[in-house]
Amino acid sequence: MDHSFLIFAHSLLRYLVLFAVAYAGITHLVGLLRGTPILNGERTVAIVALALCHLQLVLGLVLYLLRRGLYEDMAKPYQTFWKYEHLGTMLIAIILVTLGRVLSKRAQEERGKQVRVAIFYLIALVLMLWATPWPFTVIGHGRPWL
Amino acid sequence: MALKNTIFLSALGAVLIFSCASEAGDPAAPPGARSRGATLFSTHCTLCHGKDGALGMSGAKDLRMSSLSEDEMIALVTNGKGSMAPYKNVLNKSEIEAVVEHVRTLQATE
Repeated sequence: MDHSFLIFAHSLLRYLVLFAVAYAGITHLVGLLRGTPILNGERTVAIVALALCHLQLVLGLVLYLLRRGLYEDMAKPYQTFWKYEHLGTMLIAIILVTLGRVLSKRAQEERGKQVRVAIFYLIALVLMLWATPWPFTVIGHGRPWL
Repeated sequence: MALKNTIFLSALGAVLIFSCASEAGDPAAPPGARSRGATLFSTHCTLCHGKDGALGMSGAKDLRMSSLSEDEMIALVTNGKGSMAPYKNVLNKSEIEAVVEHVRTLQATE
């Protein structure tokens, strides 16, 4: 089955996800440090980041199911990365983003809302950056930027 | 309560995925059952070229249809061309030769 478009979409969406998660995490952190309230736009970015993460997860899971046969004969570190590390780490990152948004929504005070989004989103961002098969890494060598 | 259940189930899923990782790569077949070239091909080439060389992802060529000579293939894998990345810093000369040898078998089976 030709799933080139799904790979392209998953690859392109990564940049939007990373930007939205980083932007939401940083703006909430800056607001927290400066003691300023969350603006509607910043809150919207946090919600958009969450939606993009979930869309990316669905695309990733579909690709995983379509391509898992390709991982079977790989050398162990590569196989482990594609079968478990990439999927598992991204799943944890998306759970963190979801938790950050849900807990922020439930918090009573402005400061509490900002702390939750800042911490959960920025930890998720680090995990996402780490588990992405960038072309300059050993695992991602040969893969295009898009 | 619903949130707690969601968190618990999500965390359980993530833990299960990582716990499976310890079993990754346990070869069912005895060592040496697959050629070195086949393993290297599976590791570095299949995501774009597919197991049979015909997947064609990210602009990858159908290897079964290639008319390149063995030396030309070695040069192409070593230095790259177009969307094909160079592998001279990833694989050594003998590994590249083994991969090309495997690619030749894909053509032979067609």
